[in-house]
Amino acid sequence: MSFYTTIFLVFAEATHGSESGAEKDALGKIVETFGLDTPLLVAQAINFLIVAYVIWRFGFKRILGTMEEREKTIASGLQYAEEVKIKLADTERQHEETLKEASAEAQQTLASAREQAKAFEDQLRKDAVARAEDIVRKASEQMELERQTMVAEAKKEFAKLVVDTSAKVLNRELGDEEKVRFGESAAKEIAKV
Amino acid sequence: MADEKQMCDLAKRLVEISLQDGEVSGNRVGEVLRALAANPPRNYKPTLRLFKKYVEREIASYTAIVEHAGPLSKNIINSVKKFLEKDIGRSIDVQTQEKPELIAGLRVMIGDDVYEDSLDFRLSPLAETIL
Repeated sequence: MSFYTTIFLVFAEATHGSESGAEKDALGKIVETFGLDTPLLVAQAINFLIVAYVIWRFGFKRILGTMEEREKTIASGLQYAEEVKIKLADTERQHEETLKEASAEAQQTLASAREQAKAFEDQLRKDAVARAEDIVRKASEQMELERQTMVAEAKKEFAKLVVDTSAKVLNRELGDEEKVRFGESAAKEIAKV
Repeated sequence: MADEKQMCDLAKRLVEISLQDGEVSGNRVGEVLRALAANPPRNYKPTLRLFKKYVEREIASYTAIVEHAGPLSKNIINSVKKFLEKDIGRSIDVQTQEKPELIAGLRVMIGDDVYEDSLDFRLSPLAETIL
């Protein structure tokens, strides 16, 4: 008799204990047909329980423990993977933000550098223009000064020439008598002072 | 500074000593120089230089230099001498120098004063007018 048949009979007997004798006979026939032996059944049940306990105690429980550990390990690994994933995403996000910031900063620096370069270029251009104007102005002033100096020297030479010529003409034209008369006149003029 | 003032005062006193009848006397100047050589004061050479300068200035104050072009008559010299003596209030010596560049006329210098009436002087405004 198999284990399941025995269990079935035990339950049937417990359930239908108060039924009629015909039913009891039917059951007896069934038991007999299936070859049930009560002590053997009890012994097998005890054996089963012992084996089940031993398996439960030394096999299944350990396997369950190992499985739990594995589950924990797997869960921990999954959690770690999830954390790593989150961290990776966070890192990528930070990296992108850093890149964006760096890009923005680089753009700002570039724009600033361009502005400074443009300002410097403008300043250089202004300075160059101012220097060129200054050079032109100084050259013009120098030329004007040289022109004035030349004109003044020419006038001076001309005046000297006129005076010298006049003096020579007068010196040649005036005789001693005229010079004496002029001297007397000069003495009178000096005396009037 | 104080030394310089003392030298000036000494040189002026020496010039006063060198005067005779209001004019610098050669003899007195010689005596002054001999006395200085016998008893040389401090700053001997600078004092001598100052003495020479003051003597020259004193002589120039009563010596008229008459520069002229062409012949110079005695009338002209006398006229100038008379005018200057009247102007200064003392007798003066007159020295004459020929200056052909004056063309004609006179230039009289006495002390720091200059009197001039010459053709060269009269031509100078012409040059200024051209300039």
